[in-house]
Amino acid sequence: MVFTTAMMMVRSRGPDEFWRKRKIFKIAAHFSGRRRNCYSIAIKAVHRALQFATIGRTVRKSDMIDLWNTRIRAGCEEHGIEINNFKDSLSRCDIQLNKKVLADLAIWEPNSFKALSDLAKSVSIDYNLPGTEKYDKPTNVVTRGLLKK
Amino acid sequence: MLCNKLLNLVSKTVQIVPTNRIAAAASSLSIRSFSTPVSQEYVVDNTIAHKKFSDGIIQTVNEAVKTNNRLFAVVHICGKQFKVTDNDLVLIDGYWPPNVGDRIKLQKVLLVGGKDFTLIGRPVLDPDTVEVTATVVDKDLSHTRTNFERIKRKQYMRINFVRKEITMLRINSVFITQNIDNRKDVQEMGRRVM
Repeated sequence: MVFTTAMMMVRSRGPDEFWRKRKIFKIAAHFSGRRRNCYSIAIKAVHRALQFATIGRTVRKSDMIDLWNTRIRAGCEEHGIEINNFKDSLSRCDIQLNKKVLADLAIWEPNSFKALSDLAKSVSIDYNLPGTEKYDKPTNVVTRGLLKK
Repeated sequence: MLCNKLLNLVSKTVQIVPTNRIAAAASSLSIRSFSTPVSQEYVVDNTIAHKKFSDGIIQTVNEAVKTNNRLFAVVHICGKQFKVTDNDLVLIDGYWPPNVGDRIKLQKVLLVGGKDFTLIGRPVLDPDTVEVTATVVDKDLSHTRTNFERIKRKQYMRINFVRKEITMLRINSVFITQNIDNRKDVQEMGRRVM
């Protein structure tokens, strides 16, 4: 199906059958099989597609959160700290980086992420958070108890 | 009356009993103390050593800042955090007041890093030390998003078309302008003076 001009589509608002169908066919142009060319099948497919697109916009947010959590967890495991302790101790010493940025740092700035995880490890040992018994205190972090409130 | 008598009796017994018994007990039995044993602690004053150590670290970071030519920063803009470097484009979604052509200094910098060092803000870094400047390049509406909802067998169908405002920011530079330990007594943070 060839869509010649935008001007033609502007005219398609009216009740005329051809132009009304043409709007739907335009959305269905990239579908496969009869869903592209038969109107009664195309309209069902278009409705489904538009609903999925609308729902997907909200679902994407939680999907991204899951993805960031996975990435941060992978980074944490590399440096031998649990993600719960990592997040907890960062918030305890008032570092308010969000999940998106932490995931970015875990991928693209490994040195910065290691610094953060070392800091988190020593802070979690300072606070004696659950699960910190197995951590070795990092030697390159000097807190002198100043980060503890 | 009875009550009074009882009270007298009690007070007498209390008066009589303790002193002799305790003295006897102290003499006959070995003293058992349940308090913490007295020991003397020596607090070593190593403030000078601490200061020397921290000065050393600050000096190495300051030298690293001078040798680095490109830094990255994590900035907080319009409720979202972005990791940016020089010449980056940042797309901001939704209403945001600055207009096209405005040059902006981003003051909420959460983290700055280079090749050899990372400065972490708690929660933000000193705005006098870190300078992230940006220009508003473009202000426009986004592509059309179709909100379509429909309930099966209930003759319910709604379709809305939404276009949000978007703003494009070009990050001009990420700099550390002065030594990181250089702090004033009175500091300005945005409009607040601390």
